[in-house]
Amino acid sequence: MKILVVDDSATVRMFYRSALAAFPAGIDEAPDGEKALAMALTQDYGLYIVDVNMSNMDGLTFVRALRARHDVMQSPVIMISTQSREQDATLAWQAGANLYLKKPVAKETLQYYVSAMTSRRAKDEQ
Amino acid sequence: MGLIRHNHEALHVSSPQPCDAVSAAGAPSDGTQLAASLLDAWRGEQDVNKCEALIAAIAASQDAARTDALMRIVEEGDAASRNFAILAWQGLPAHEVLRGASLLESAHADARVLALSVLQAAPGRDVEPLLIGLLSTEADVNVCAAAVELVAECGTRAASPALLAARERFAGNEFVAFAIDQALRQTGAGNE
Amino acid sequence: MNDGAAMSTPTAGTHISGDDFRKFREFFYRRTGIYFDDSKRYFVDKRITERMELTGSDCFRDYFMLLRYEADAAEMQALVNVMTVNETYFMREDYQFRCMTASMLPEIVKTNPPGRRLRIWSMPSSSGEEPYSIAIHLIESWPGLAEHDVEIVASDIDTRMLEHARAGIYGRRAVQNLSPALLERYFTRLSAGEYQVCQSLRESVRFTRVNLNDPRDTASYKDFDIVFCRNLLIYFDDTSRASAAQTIFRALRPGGFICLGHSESMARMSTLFTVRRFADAIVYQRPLV
Repeated sequence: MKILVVDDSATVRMFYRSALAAFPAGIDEAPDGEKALAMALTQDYGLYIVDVNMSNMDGLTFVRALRARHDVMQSPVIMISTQSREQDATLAWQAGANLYLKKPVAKETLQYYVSAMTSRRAKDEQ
Repeated sequence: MGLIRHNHEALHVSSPQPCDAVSAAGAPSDGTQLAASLLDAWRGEQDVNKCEALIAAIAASQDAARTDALMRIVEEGDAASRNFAILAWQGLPAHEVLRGASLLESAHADARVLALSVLQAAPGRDVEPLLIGLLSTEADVNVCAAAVELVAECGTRAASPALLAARERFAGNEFVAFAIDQALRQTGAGNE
Repeated sequence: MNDGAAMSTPTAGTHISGDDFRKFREFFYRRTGIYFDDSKRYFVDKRITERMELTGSDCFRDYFMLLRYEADAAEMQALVNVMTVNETYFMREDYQFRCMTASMLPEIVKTNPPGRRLRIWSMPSSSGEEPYSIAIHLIESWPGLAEHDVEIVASDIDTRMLEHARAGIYGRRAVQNLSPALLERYFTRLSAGEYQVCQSLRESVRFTRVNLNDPRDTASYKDFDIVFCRNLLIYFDDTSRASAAQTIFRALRPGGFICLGHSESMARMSTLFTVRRFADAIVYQRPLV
């Protein structure tokens, strides 16, 4: 299953895409939470990578909305933010994120976590 | 006289009328200082809908100091108020949008990023010099990244030296390097 | 790329690369909240090429400079219009509303019998932005509202759209053309960036289900002073278009006006109407006799 990258910066989305070029199922992109939710409703994603600060439905609102829906596949969420205060990470956990990373994220870091979180799913499904 | 009314089923509106907040702020009798009094009301307000109403009223006021008030909200407000203030500010005439540049002087990196959000609505020719200045010295990686993105969109080859200087300053950072290479391409550096 | 040849191929300068498309998409999204995914590439490229030709831009970069560096507001608006022809939002093509208050209504009231209410039909009304915009514009800009009753009927074939319109709840994108003052005056903010049209305004529009192609639906729609039928007929084939034009003709009172979408022309659809070139807009009129 594909990964959905949600960030309002096209540069960031392209950077993640290039970091995850080896991911077999491929990457979809959404520029905000609203469009991401619409996409999540039409296909299953194996992982969500979500920026916190977006206008037009920010990351936390999106993740809460995602977690509240029973008709959407509940896959892991990596939340990424420029903020690194403890309360921001707490808000992310409470919203339903699995991991919280600070921007800018190094390619290697992203690859590591994506690999861990998607292979875990593959193991669960066996 | 006026528009003919038809009967609809009563529709439940759950939020309280935010307009009360605006009238409670009170318009001073001589019409000046409206933005300041609305700002004071905003500071005392908890309800997000009322906050938005007050921010909208500030933007709608003909007060010459309205951008000062918006700037305070961008600096002090929570995410919801900040985003709404930026949106409202972006809708003002170009010369008022450009006043957002004073936030670029802030010591806080977050405020500088927000300044760049406001400036997105200004013409490239007015913003490019500011971005060139910023990129020549900016030390915070996230502010730099935001500035690089804005230059990529609205800048020209004139920005190349500043972009290259930033690339050197952040030599270890692969995202910044990626973004700057992207920006150089998009501003036509190296093209004929 | 310019290879210096005496005659460059017609498409060479108007080529829009993948990078250009992505740059444009990002810019357009930041400005309007509308995001074109890769499947919309053809749609976007075609329209950018049109605008490039109309602005005399030799290449994409020149056109984009006009938009972003020079920030040509008129071109930005023209671009938004062609890109959003399938979108609806408040005060879309508002020059027609200005024409309504400045030119059409003043003419109409001259021949309006005393006590007769004026009638405006918005068809299709889609999710309701158009009829509510008409109402707002009348309240804000037509002094005649103090002396005349105006009935606004809004119709669509899609009942879900009608329900949406009756509820009158909209997101930021739909209201972004409204000044903060108008937003304040006519809308209530609900949670999470949603706005609801205030109740008195909602009650001022009557929403009905109508299929313009079905004579059983349209038979009772008569005696309208102004019909707004924007960006619907372009989707009809020639026969249906001619027949729809007839239906609208019959729905109008003699002297009544019809407003089409900015790229539509009645002349190609029907000879029943007279062209009226007002300062704000070109509209079509059912002759008085």
